[in-house]
Amino acid sequence: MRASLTIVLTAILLYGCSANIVHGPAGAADSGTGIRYYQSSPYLLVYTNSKGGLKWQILYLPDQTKKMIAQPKAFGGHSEMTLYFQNGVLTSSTELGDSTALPKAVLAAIQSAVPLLASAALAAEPDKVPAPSLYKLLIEQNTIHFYGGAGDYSITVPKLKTGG
Amino acid sequence: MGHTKLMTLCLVSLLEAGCATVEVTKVTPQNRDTVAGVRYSLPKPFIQVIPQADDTLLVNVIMLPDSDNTYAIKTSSRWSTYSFQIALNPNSTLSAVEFKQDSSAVGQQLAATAGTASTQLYNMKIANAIATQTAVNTAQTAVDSAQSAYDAAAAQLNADKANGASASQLNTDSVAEQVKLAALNDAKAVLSRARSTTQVGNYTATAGTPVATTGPTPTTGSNSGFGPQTWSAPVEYELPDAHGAVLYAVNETLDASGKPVLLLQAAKLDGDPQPTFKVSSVASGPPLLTLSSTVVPKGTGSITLNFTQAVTSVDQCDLFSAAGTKVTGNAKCVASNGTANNGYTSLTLSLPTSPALSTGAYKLIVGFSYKNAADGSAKSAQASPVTITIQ
Repeated sequence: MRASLTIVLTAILLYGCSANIVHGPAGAADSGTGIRYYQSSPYLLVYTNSKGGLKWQILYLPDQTKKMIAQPKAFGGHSEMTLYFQNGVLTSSTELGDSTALPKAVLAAIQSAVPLLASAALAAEPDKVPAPSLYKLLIEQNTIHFYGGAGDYSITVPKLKTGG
Repeated sequence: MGHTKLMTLCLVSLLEAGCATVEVTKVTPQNRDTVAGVRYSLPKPFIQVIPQADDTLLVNVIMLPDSDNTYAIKTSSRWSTYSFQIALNPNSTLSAVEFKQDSSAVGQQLAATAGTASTQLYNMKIANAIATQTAVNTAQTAVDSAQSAYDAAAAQLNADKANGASASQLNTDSVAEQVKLAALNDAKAVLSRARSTTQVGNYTATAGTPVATTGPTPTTGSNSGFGPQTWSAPVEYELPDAHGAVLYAVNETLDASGKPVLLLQAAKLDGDPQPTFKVSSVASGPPLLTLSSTVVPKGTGSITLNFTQAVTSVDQCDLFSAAGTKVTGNAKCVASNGTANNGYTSLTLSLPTSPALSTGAYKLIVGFSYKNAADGSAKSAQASPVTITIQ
């Protein structure tokens, strides 16, 4: 009779179990067994408009240095898990703090930095257009750090030239 | 170990194993032909730069599947029901994953089964106890009857002795008393056995009723993200000459100090980041100027315009103001960017500089000769007017 009670109690306990999803970094070894995805990070893309000016935009791209694992942990009970992704980035998670819009002041600071960042790329070879530049924006202690630079190849374009 | 404890352990073990799992394995060159599961890839961002006819760039970001980050998703279930849905984008990246599992039916069934088994065990024990007690009661009744018969026989013997009965009568009474005593002893022996022997009751076991279960329901509907995927037609870009677009891979790692290292590296085709491809002009008709309008600052001395295919000569070059007045002076066109044998792919328009043209819109009419790509014959044509805005 005591054994039967044990069975009933165990069944009741397990019936009440639920499941959750554990999110964590994949690590360099990438040896986990969960679903991999990337967190997103902001990037600055700058390129010439071929008229003496620049085009620039803030992009949110999958950050290849922030690979994550979502590991469903289910033990008994009833559980449901639905994950939505866009460009490899988990979009249904509230952990995407990095994807929030950058403050206006930060954007203004980026804009002021654009000419400096692109000046080197503007010195292109004849019949060539400078390669675009891509910078990762890392905000640490209220300071923006730019990591990246210009592409390693200038683009050949048709020869539309004007002379003075 | 009693069989009840063994059964308990087995059932608990089954419950512990009662789950559905999602297992994701990285696909490598070593296991790509053997590892099971639905494949998906993490995306690799590329910056695609497409030259335009007006020397500007069309720049966009595309995501390509990264074969170095390809995984296989496998699901399994033990003692549970589950549903698993996965939606992939056309580029093999994940769009959505849904996993529902329910092992509670095992627990419910186990609880119900344990309850039923306990009840049946209790009922069986009661039935056995009743059977044992019934046997004891029957034996006790027999003992009581035998004792009463023996007492009667003993009393008869004593009475006949007191009344001086004959020896023959006394002998008969004595035999009767011994018979009753033997019957009494037999009845007591039966009672003793009945008390020490467990009786099996009359009991019919009933089978348990399975618990009604409903498996998880996959999410459906047009807004669920699951179901048939729509693959949009690929975007087709038209490039102005034989130079292809440039694809820059966004390669990002961390250095030893944990800081990002981002490189924008052009992908190479046959060692060339921007390879040239063979082009044909058979279906293109007469050459065209690649621009229909352009804006230049006041004082500009020359403008170079491109043809869609080579011309043999530029025969007409008339520049008109917005009012329709022909611009005179040194405004002229010269075929450029080529040779007399191979043709020219550009023309250079010289503009008056002293004085410079006033601001406004001008219309350029260009006539030229070319070799017909279809039959090689000499042809002449006039290009659509080009609007040149001086500002």
